[in-house]
Amino acid sequence: MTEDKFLELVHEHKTRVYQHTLYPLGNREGENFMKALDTMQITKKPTIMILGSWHFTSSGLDGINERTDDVRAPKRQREIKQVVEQLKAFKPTKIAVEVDPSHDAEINTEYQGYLDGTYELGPYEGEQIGYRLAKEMEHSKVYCVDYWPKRDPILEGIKGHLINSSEFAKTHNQEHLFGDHPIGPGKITRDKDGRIWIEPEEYEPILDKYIRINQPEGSRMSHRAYLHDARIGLGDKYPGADWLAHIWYARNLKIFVNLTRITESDDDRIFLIIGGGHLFLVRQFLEDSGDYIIESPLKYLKTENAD
Amino acid sequence: MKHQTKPTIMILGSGHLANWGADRINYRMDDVLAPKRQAELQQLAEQLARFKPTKIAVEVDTQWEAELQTEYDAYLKDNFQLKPHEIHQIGFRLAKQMGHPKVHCVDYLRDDPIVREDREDHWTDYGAFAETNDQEHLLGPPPTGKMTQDEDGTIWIEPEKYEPIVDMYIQENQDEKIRTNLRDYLRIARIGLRDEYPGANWVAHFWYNRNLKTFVNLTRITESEDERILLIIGAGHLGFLKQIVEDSEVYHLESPLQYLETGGEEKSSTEKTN
Repeated sequence: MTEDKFLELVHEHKTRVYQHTLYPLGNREGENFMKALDTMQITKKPTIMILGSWHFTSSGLDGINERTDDVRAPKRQREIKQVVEQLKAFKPTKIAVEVDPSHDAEINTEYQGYLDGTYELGPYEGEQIGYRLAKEMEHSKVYCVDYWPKRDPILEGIKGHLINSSEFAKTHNQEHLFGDHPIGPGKITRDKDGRIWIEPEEYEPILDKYIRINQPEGSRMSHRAYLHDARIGLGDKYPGADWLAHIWYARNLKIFVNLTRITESDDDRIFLIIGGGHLFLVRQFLEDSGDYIIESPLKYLKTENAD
Repeated sequence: MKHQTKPTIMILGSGHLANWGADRINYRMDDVLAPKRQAELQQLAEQLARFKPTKIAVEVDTQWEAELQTEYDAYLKDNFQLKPHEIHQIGFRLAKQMGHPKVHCVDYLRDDPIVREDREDHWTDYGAFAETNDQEHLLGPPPTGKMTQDEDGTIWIEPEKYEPIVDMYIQENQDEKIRTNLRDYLRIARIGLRDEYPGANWVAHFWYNRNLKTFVNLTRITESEDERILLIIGAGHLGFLKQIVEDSEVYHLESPLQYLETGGEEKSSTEKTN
């Protein structure tokens, strides 16, 4: 019997073994047995790789926005193809993008058009990297896993001021509680609406930028900053925590849930491209669930053709 | 002693010492007011005192602060009988021992103005959703042990053997147990289908929200870097709360396991035979 076949058999039987043999032993023994299997890496699990991205075309809607040049320019297109080429080594079975599942049909009409040569990729990372990689891997569809519904039954009618922590901090002298949100290199300007723009001062190839923003240190600092912002509030007011729990955490948790919903087997290798801000929480959920193997894109992205 | 540049916090996960039966499945506890249990609680308090807490925080919503203070003041004047729950039995006892003027409320357990009051139950009732949609496996493995059921359907798990209170706390606060706790909530989060997310709604808008605000309340009672806060809270909170505290890097986090030692009869008898 080949090793693969053996592992497959072990895997097939583990659930049954767990339920019928180990439950009577009590949870602790069952857990320990499963843990032993995990350490031996006999338990097979689906794999996920998350590529944290910036938005190729800035909406200008975020607190901090980044000026970007046109990714459809020939030089940028070559850089994107280089990134896609490297990512192919991950051998993804599914590509997931930052779009709410309610748009699944539209997104896949576009993707089908791209496969047929009738749709030209828009200047968005989900299309430029996601669609391109999916086509290279000969996937018949792409998957939408964001949570950004037209209406949210829990929060509908939410009063904006309740979650406006920056306004609250300003009017209550709590600006010292603001977290230290990491921002990329560049010149910082503020437009007339008060939005912050970062103007890059040096040309950075797309591959280098992906390597930079996918460093674990960055997402750790970003999440820490959100937790610091959460402290803003007084008495029965929690604008910082309300935003973090009800908006940001809820959205990321549902992205995790959507990833579990598109996972069909232990052989799945899911590639998700998503705004870098989501990296920390989505990854933490996947890790803490114990149900996935997580690979870092840094394993595949290399600046020199060293390997 | 090394100077900490951050305040220190220690979170003691607790089972429910009083048989409230508030959960679907509850662990039965014998009467902690009995002399033997009281001696064990005294021993636990003495071990925790070595942490030298400057403040003790308990799982009570901040709106009840005045009521809790009235009780604590009476207890300081030996004019109050501690009730059989961990807030009194451990929190009050230890706070008095440390000479603290008050015990701090840090829970967030109330209607949240952000969450629609007129929401329909099925948006967050993950249990019912799991039952009607064949997702019961996401509710976690069935409990093991000897079970009994009340007339109102509350399930009780009866203890198999006598366990000293310190030992119970050592069990509740093991890393492995905390990891399992986190994993169980992430499994519940998955309950739902299509545009329905009752599990994730409950986990995010109720459970995480409550734990995040408990953390916020802790930061609000933290006055200096020399602060050493002991939080006593239901063990179910450990997964999220500990992670929030760790990821925030606001505190230096200590584990209660370094202070708790099983000092029961078993240990002393082994020592004798050695």
